[in-house]
Amino acid sequence: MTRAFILSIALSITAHAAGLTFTAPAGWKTVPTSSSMRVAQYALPRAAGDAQDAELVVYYFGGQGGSLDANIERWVGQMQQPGGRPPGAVKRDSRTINGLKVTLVDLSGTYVAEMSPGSGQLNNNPGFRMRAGYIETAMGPYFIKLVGPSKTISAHDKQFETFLSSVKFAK
Amino acid sequence: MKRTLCGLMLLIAIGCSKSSPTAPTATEPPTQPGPAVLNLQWNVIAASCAPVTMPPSQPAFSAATIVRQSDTSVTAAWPVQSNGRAQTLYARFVFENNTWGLCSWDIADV
Repeated sequence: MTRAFILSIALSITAHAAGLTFTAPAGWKTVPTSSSMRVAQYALPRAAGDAQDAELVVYYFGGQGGSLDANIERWVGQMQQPGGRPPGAVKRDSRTINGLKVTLVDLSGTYVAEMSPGSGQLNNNPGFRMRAGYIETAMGPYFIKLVGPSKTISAHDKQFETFLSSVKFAK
Repeated sequence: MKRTLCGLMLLIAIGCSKSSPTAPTATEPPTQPGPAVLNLQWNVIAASCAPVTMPPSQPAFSAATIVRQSDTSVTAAWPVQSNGRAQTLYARFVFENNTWGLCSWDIADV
């Protein structure tokens, strides 16, 4: 029992921020955040053959951040479809996790969001996948955005689910 | 016997209510809500947050949506455009040394 407890501490990192807590699975590397609005940031090691790691960021904009629909529209706009065709209907996955309403979308395509905030330079990464989530709390929404090469994201699908199930909110 | 017990319980209840005031006690940390008037400026960096770079644009505060946070800081948000994309600039300001200073910023579209 004690050994298992120590092991679980060694293998995971629990992050706390502004009421939201979550535990990063073993193997996810903590990355220093570039602003206080990024609650936590992780690098998820790349799958064999992929050129880069995936990245997961938890955002909190002080209770702001726009509506669920506006964010989904923004996320869809960051994933360009082949030939520039419009994206099909986006399937929303709505869940309740530890009492929190969470809405997730799973998008694939060419990732074209800005490379860094305000840089004006856009990514152009075909074969990418994004799993993004909108978490509703008493202090406003938190946002989760996981982006990376499709194969790498798929390799972390199970860990992402574990991460989601760890999300809790305390006033 | 019952009467004695009831009297004793009443005395304890009065004693407890006197030692457990509902108002905050002196042992609680003082709260610093910050001034009622916000005088936000882009050119002042909060010392405790330095170094902080400037965002690519510094929109007028009159156009911002400002929300006070429970930790006494404020978050200001503006719709901005970059490469034809609609984005939102968020900036967090904290009150230090009698002035509001920029602590961090981010843009929602990355």
